[in-house]
Amino acid sequence: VRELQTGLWHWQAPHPDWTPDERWPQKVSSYAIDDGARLLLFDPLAVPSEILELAADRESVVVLTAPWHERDTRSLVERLGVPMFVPPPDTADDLVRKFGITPERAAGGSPDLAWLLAGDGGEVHWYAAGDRLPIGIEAFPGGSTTTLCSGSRASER
Amino acid sequence: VLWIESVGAVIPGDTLVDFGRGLEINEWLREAVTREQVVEGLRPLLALPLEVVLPAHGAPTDRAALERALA
Repeated sequence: VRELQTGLWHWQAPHPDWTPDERWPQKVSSYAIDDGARLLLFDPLAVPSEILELAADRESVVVLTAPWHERDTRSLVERLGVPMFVPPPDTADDLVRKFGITPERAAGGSPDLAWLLAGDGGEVHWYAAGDRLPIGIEAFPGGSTTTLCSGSRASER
Repeated sequence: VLWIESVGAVIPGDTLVDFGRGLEINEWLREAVTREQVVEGLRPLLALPLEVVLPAHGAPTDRAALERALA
């Protein structure tokens, strides 16, 4: 883990779902930002012990940049009881409209964050481009806020 | 794509990635939006006091890299 500036950390870890066929490198990046009261964990994977210790002393929050960047979020939520800010995964209707797949194939919507949608995740705040989150974050539009259902195209995670 | 003013950071998720060629718009990710539309949506970031770009794929980089990616 490396502190890029005071209160801003970066680390990398091999993604457990990576295969040699992926377009993206095996190691992915995660970040933590500490403002002295709140610790924000971005797309967390293999959070270093020193960051976890800090999280225990802070009002910690997990922020996902995409619903398919879940990584170690579920275990962190279960372990620390932290709230989450995350863009919502695609519904079945979204998948049909955006990608032209059949309703049968889209049934159930995106599998991303299914545990959260099932109510197993505690406090969650859904956000979208244009939102100002009450944790000092502004969301801008990107290339996508969605992913595809499994099997139609692999997503970067 | 997230802007965190307290540290002057952009966290671009999968919209801007470095797969080994430097920071760039993730052409593969775009869904029903053109590259120009992505650039247009992100150009306001360049007017902010941006110090660092923190991609999910790739290492932290700087404002100049974002300028090149959006050029």
